[in-house]
Formats: sequence, C-alpha cells, structure tokens
Amino acid sequence: MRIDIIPRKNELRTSLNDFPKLKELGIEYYGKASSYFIENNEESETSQILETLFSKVDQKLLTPNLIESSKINTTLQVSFKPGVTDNSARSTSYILQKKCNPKIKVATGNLFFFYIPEENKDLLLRLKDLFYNDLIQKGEVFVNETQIPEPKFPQVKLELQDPECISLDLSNRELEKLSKERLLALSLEEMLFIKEYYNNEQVIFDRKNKGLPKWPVDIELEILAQTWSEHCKHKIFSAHINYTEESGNFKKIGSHKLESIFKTHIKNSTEIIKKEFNKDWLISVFTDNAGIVRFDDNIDYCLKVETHNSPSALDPYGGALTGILGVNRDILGCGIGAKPVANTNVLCFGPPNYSKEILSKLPKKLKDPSQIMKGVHRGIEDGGNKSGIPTVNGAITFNDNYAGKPLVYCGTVGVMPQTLNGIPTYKKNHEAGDLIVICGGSVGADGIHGATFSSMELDDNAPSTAVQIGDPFTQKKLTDFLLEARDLGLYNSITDNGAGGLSSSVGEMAEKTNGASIDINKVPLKYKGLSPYEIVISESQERMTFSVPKNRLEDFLQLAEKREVNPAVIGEFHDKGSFDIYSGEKLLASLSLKLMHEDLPPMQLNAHFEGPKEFLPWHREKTQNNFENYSEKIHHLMSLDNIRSKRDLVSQYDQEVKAATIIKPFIQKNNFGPSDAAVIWSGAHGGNPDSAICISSGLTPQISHIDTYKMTEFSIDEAFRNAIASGANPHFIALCDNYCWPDPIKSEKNPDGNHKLAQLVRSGQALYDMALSYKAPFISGKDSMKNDFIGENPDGENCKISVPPTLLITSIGKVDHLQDIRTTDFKNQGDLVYFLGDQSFNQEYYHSLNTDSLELPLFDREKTFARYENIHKFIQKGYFNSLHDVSDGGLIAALIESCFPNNFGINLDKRVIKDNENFDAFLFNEVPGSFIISIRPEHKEEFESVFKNESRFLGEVESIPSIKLPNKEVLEIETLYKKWSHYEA
Amino acid sequence: MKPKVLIISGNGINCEIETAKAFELAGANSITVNIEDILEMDSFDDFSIMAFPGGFSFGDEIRSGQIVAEQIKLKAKKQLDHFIAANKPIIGICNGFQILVQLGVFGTHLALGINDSQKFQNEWVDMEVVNTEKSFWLSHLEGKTFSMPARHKEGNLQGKLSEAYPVFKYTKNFNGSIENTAALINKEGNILGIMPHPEAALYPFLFHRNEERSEFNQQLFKNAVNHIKEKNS
Repeated sequence: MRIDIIPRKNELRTSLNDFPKLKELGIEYYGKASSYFIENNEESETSQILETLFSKVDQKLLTPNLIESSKINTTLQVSFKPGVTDNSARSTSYILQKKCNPKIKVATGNLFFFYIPEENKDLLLRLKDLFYNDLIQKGEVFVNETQIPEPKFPQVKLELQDPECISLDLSNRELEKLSKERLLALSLEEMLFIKEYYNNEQVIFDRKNKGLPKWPVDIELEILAQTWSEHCKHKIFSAHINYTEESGNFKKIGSHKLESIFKTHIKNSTEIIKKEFNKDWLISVFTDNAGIVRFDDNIDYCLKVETHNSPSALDPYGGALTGILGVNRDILGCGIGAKPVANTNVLCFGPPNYSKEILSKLPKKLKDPSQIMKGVHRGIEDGGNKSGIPTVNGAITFNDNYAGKPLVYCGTVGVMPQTLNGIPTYKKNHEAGDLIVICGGSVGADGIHGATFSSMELDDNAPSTAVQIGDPFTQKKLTDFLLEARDLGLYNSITDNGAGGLSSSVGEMAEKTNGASIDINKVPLKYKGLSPYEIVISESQERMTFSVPKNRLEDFLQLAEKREVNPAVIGEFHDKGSFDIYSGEKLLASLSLKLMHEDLPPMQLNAHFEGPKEFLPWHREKTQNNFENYSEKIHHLMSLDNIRSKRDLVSQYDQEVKAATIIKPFIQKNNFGPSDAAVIWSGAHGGNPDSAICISSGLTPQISHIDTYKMTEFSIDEAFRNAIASGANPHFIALCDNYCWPDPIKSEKNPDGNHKLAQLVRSGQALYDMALSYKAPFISGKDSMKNDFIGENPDGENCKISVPPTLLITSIGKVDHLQDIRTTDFKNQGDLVYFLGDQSFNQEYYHSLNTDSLELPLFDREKTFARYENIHKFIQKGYFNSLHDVSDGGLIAALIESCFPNNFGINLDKRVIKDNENFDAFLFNEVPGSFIISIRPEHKEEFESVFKNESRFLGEVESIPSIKLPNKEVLEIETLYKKWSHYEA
Repeated sequence: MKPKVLIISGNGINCEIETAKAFELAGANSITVNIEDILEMDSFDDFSIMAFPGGFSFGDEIRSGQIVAEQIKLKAKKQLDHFIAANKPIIGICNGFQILVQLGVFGTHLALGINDSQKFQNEWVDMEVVNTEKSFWLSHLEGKTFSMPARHKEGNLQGKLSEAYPVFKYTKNFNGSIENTAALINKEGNILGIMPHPEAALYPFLFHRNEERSEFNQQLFKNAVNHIKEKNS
C-alpha cells in the first residue's frame, strides 16, 4: 500500500522560490508529497494507519484526480536504495508495529511535481541533483501519469563470502594493485612490511599453532589497513621530515630535520606550557577521544573537533549529519563518558553563486557548491537539533578551491562530573576479563572503508558504501542510556565506534589490557550476508563499545534492554597480546597488537618551501572590480560571501536548547549583529553558577598561499582574540588544532608535494611558537591529509582541485564571572570608540579587497599577548561596553557590525588618519591582535594611559545610524545592513 | 511538602533538565522519568503537575509529537485522562505542546503545521498575554509582554479554536499561526501548551540584554506550583 500526503495550504500550487534554477528553464515546480510504502498490513488496518500518518486539519491525501486537475505533467518519485538508513521509516514502522501488527514494514520517499514544457522534457534528469543523490536514492520520472506505481521495496541481498586467505607472495606491482583494488590505501612500503612480517619464521610458527594459514586472511589485512590508515594513524604527522627552504622574502625557519610534527610542535609545546606555567587545569591531553580541562570546581569540560570531508563531498546531508553525530560520540566516549553540551561547525565551500560559465567547467562528478552547502547545512541542522545539543559557534568560508572537496569541521564540548562513585571520570578503567558489549545501531554494509577512503584523494570511483546517513534519534536514546548506566557505575570503560568500526574501537581499547577477542556471530546485523571482515570494519553509526565487568553485566543488559539500545555481548578483553576474531568456536583471524599499534616504521619525507605563491582558482578566472568611491567599495565589501551575514542559515540551528547559551551566534536587538564567540553558562551543567566557558574559532586559509607560518599565527590569534573579546581569562584558554591539507606527499600525481609538506612544517613551527607566546596549550586535534579531487573536466582533460592548506583553531576558555562577559555591539550613545591594536597603516597588505597582494601585516606575538592581559584587567574592573575583533573586512567592517544591533552610527573625524598613512590600509587591513572597542567617557584617561601607543580614537557612538567618513562620504547603516544580510533582503 | 512534578524524558525529548529546573526554581520537586517507564505506570496520581518538555521525540517523524501521542493513546490514555479530569496542571512546551495537540486535549480540529518559512527557526519572540482570567497558569501576568526563544519548525497553528483559548500571541507574525497564537489553554484552564521556551529564559543573563522580564517566565511556573500549594493548604 502507498500513502502520499500533501499539505493543504497551497496544495499543488507553484512555488518558484524553492528552485530558482528551474524557473530559468521554464519548469514549474508544484511542490512535493511525503510518501509511505507499507507492506504486510491487513486491509482492516487501513483506517488506523491513515489516522496515524496524517491529519485532515492541514494535510490531504494525494489522489490521481488531484494531479489530473492540475497542470502537472511530470512526477519524480524518489525512494531509498536498499540498505540506506531511512529514519522516517524506522520511526513509522515502530509505531505501526505496536498499533497494528508486528509484521508491518515501512519505507518512505517523496514525490515531486512539475510542469515541463515539451521542448525541455529531458531537462529534469539533468537537474536531479536538486532533488536526490543517486548514490543513496533512486529516482523515477513519470510523464503524463496520474497513478504513480510503488517503487520496489528496498531489500538488501548480499552473497556471503567466507574469509579468504590472501597470499602476499606477489611482485611490488601486484602488491600495489591489491592495495588499490581492495581500497586498503596502504603504500607499497607498508605492503612490503606486512609481507615481511608474515614471512617471519616465528610468526609462521605461531600462526600454525593457532590453526591459521601462513598468509593473512582478509580480515587481518583489512584491520591493518584501518588501523594504519592516515585517518587513524596520522602517519604524516609522525613522519621524519627533512625541511629545506628557498631564499626569498618570507620568514625563515631554517633548514632542519624533525622527527614528528605532532611530537615536536604540538605535544611538546603543551608539555612545556604545562610545566613552566603550572597549568594544573590540564586534566587529559592527546590521550583520549577528547582533551579535558578543569575550568570549574565541580565539573570538567572536554573538547573535540573532527572533520567529515569525503563523506560530505559524496552525500552532503548524510556526511555532515554523521560528522556531527560522530564527534558527539567522541565526547560520549571520553573518559568514562561525558555529556555533549554544545556543538560547533566550521564549513568551507566553493562559492555559492557560480556563473553558468564556471559551472560548465566543473568536473562532472562534482556537485555545484551551492548544492553541497544546502545538504551540509541540513545535516548540521538535524544533527544538532534532533540530538538536543545547541549549535553555538561556527563559520562558513568560501574559496574557489574548496569546490573539489568541501571541508566540514564538527566540534563538540562535553561536561563530566570530576568524580563518580569516588572514581575519577577522566580515566578509562577496563581490565582483562571485562566483557565487550556493544549498544546502539546494528551493523550493515554502510560505512565500509570510510577510514581508508578518507585517506585517499577523491576520484571518479567513490564507493557508495562509504556514504551513510546518521540517525540522531537512535543516538539520543543511546546517549540517555549511556549517561544513566555511567552514573550507576554499570561499566568500566567506553569508547565510540567511528572510523574503522569495531576494528578500531576494540583494537584501541585492547591496547590497555593487551588483548581482546570477539565473536562476529554475536554482532547484531541489519541484514544477512555480510562477510566477517565487513562486520569488523563497518562504520555503521550510532554504536558505542562498553567494557563491562562480569558482576555488572546483568544490570547493564537489563537497563539496555529497557531503553531499547540493542545490547550485544560480543567478546572479552584479555592480556594475550593479540586481537582475535572468532566465528563461534572457530578462530578466523588473530593479529598481534604490537604489529597493529607499534611496529610500523615512520615515513621518511622531504619538505621544501618554495616561498609565497600567487593564488590560482581552479577555473583560472579572476574578477576585477572598480569602484567609484568608498561608499561603493564598502557596500561591496559588506556583501562579500566571506563577510556577509550567515544568520539565515544559522537561525535554523537550535542555539539555545539546554538553556545555557549566554552569548548566541547573533546578537538580536533592532537588527542582528555577529558575536565573536559563544559563551555557555556553567550553572546549567552542574558547574559554578557565576562562571561560564567561552568557545571560539579562528580560520584564515585565504592567506595560506602566501605563508602558512603567518596563516597559523593569525588563525590562533583569531580564535584567542575572539575569546578575549568575549571575556575569557587569557590564562585559562586551551586550543584544539584541526588540519585539512592537500596531499603533502610528492608523487607523479602530486608534483608539488614537497612544498605542501613544507607548508605543513611551517605551520607546525608557528603553532609551537604561538602556543608558547600565548601560554595556550593544545589539548586535542586531528588532521586530514588528502583533500584533493582528481578527475576529468567536461572537456576530458585531467583536473585536480586541491583545498588551500587549512587550519581550524578552536578555543575553549574560562570566563571567571558572568559580569566579565562582553559582546560586540555598541551599547550607549556617547560612548567613545577606539581602534585597539597595531597602528601601522602605511601600507595596504593582503585583505578582502586586495587579494593579489602577497604582503601580510607584521605581527608581534609577545606585545599582542600583553595587550590581551591588559584588556582582561580592564574587563575585570567593569570597563569596556563592547569589543569586536577586526578580521575579515578590516576596521571598517568591524565598526559597521558594532553599529548594527542597536542601529547606532559614528562620525569619523579627519584626524583618525595621519598624513603619512594610507586610507585604504586604515579601513581595510585585516590586522591580527586588533579590536574595535567602546568605553564610557569617564574611563577615557585611564584607557588612554594604558593603551597609549596601541589605541586610536575614532569617534563617539551616535544615535544617527550612519557612518561619516573623513572625506565626507556618508554610509547609511540601513543600506549597509541590507547588503550584509543579503539573503534576508 | 513540595508539589511533585512529573517531567517526561526519553525517546528524543531533550529539554527535560531545564524544565525540571524551572519547576524546582518555582518551589516544586521535579521527578524526571523516561516515557517508556511512564507507559508502565498504573496511575499518575502521585504527582501534582505534569510537564511535557521540548525536543524531537522520534526525530519528529510523521509529524512532531505524533508518535509519543500514539504511544500514550495505546498505553496510558486512561491514566492521563484521570490526571486531566482531576484538574491538575499540565504544561507542554514546544514538542510537548505538539504531543498534547496530537492527543487532542485542545480539541480535535487543531494541528501544528510547518512554519510559513518552511524552516526551523531559532529566534527570540515577544508575545502579549491575553485571556489571563481563563487559568491559574496566568495569574499576576495580565498586560505583560513576554520574551523568550522560539525554536521550532512545526509551530504553525491551524484549524479551529473551539475547545481552547489562545493565551500568548506573537507581537509580529512569526510562523503563520492563526491569530498569531503562540500558546493555548484548554477550556478547563489546567492545560497550557506553548511553542516558545519559557524554561530557557528564566535568568536575565540569558536574554540578549540583561532583562528583568525573566521574572514573568518564572512566574508562569510559580503559578502552577502555587496553585497546587493553595489547593493542598
């Protein structure tokens, strides 16, 4: 039976606003229906089913008559392919099974209605990307039909494959071929290393004793591939590197050798800071799923940021959704389990408004960046909203070279009590003899090879199994259960199932006890026919792995059954040094943990910095703008994709669930204005009621082509500065690094690999230098190293699009008292407005309107940090009515944004600019370390005496909503606001 | 004795903690229970107040609130009817309001449909309170303008208001609801359903600018608690 439901309001009437592209082609869109396909129901249950699925008040059942009497001549039916998560069907069948009969099965889909003129009949298929993704969905077009047949009910049929032994007695070329064909993403060196291992006499002897063949079985090879994937093992960050640099006009860091960027730059700086500056609030760094800090008397906070780039490129909605849910699970699996309380997301896309000409050059396999943005945005919305976690901070950045692969950064902040039942919560306490129990979703073929796939560049042959759709509802139930079980002390330890599935979660936990064994027959499956290796590496979502002591097992299972989280005891931790995989009694595979986690020799790589390079967009086209006057220039500036308001997108995220978001992404008064950071009330989460934490981010990929050293300094400064502007204490700020780099390993396909690796080394060096100067430890991080697309453009030529080297810095800071919190908006008429920061306005550097320049502003780390300390002292005294960081768009953009919320203005005096200075530099330079601030007139003297050489008086806050420039041009706040809020106008 | 409030949680409901705190701040004793456990209860008579918090029960599939409403109809209809008939206070906030509408407590010719914008919207809204004489929930609030965050996609009230009174009205059209309705009271005056979130605006510092209007939101919860205290004394 099928049921199709349409809204009563505007039923089957054209709404052209939804798809402007259709309008251009003369296609009229007549809305959509929600479709349910129901099997195994009895005739007598029909009225019960209808009553459950639709409401006469505002909905209607679709009938052939309705289509017939409309102008509709084409109907597109979209349904899910077999094995794809269908959340709506899951919830619907749950209630129909309870209400009607337990055999009922449900699938869901949509119908889309159109009128298409005869001459454009074939157009719809070309536009299918607007309506569905054929990796996961099926689309069927019906012309002049009123009775749409049901799609085939999705059912997975798989051929079970027994584990096979894979001989490595192969030539180098054959080994490489094997790695590629099985999507192992292992290099020749790694394949040879494995071959040599299995040729070792002791290994051969031990395997014989266990009844295993000489050569690895597929399970073992697949597990090694997961464990050693760049995604899981971070081989590039651990590589030995020989760095050299060209001579030229850039900061020299000197030729040198280093053993690991991670150890030398990131971990080392944290260790030094912890020791020298006595940061006893660092509870757990780099060891767990997330970093943990103690910014409160009662609770601890943890922070983790992940990326989900490749999945989002293939299925933007599912990719972003699983990204959010995945990083939430990192928090759930931190220590013995923390509660996610806030999400962040930073998204990098190709420009959203490409012209037809540029789109026609885009490789066919790539989606229009605006489509990717739409899907990712919906994924972030559902991921946060449906989990009850507020989305509090983020950014959306556009750059041509994200058109090959979008970057989707998902972050989560969690809280945990400092101790539970007398035991510290940050430590994992599992031991040999504990049972391995998994809870949550079942395992399917979805998400097989996610980890290895994301460790490769994207090409035309992406497997659809690497795509998945998350299920926030199942995860919410799992979350509620987990926290309940944690508080009752029903388990010893926990970790999430993410990349690499069970092979990673159990494999990693087994390191502590030195062994584990699992029985694949005990793993709950979505459907029959999965091969053993698929069960072990599947990344099917919404699963957590628990370590349960035998004496708590009964209670654990009882609660898990009651909360319907699908528990299964799949094995036991032991201390025999191996990870053993059984099918019932039969041992299928056994891997030495030493081989998995320790043995692999580091890569030896060369890095050579060639100096600043011009930025080249993939399509090689550059736009030139000429402006009549400053007014035109500034209006254009405020409407740039990277500067304009994103509120229309952000307002679809729930930012305030949990009733703790003190500073929200946008300030809402007469107008909306941007915030610099999110501030979350500790009191809502069991912490000190007079304190808060601050979450902010920094990202400056637009200057990476010039120098990643400066890019890194500026990104760290931006995150840190946003925290200072919002009231965080500069001595209690911790950072998280997320690297998304183009492939930094030289090869035939990647001739400039050495330069990209040098960019990475320079970034690491800057990260180290900045961390020490700001005394800000890194507590967590992640890297993603193959953010390239390789394929063909429509002319059949090879085409490679690599992301700009991108580093996202996320900060978590402590706000000592609620009265320290500051926002960006001017508060009172008559307050004095200053630019606070470095005063060199002699030269125009690279900025949003001067993108050909290869010159970057000077930056003094130590002086800047001292400025931040002074600012914070003033905040503690109750000074400053507003602070806003000067970043994209320079001083003028920050000034305008500070005027927006309360509709204020300012009259810039002639004296704001000196004779020897450059007015464009003054307005537009994007100076790190600087702010637009306002103070009460009575604080003038004290302010000017402390910030003597680094402040410049700009004028007074005025009630007339306009900005008067020194050259007498007047900018109206209202028109600037319309430009800035672009989407909303 | 503090009045006992039954706070419903689980199955995707996600505002239970702040809702429980709101009632505690108002002088009650909040007890949060998973909906699956509530469905097993023989009666709710131990409790004086019931709260259906906001969230995304069952992922908002089919229609927001519908599946929990169906669960209750299947297993707890009698218990709930008994509680309602005793004239005890019930509040449904956002998803909780949607559940109550699907249960039909405000009449059967009502539905909360998709916002006119077709989007989820998180925005602070101002609302005027009307018909304050219809319920104890609205004591001491006459003439006030409320402010709190609205956070929903399906809050567009459609149908006929024959068995309920609108009590909060958006000062400007927010989602397309008939008569700009943001909240309803049933005829008997004991059940309040509201789309925006008073429990998320109980303190001045959670407002965009520190505001004393947080007191009005606190008063809402106090009114129900005080009503029970007065009844019991």
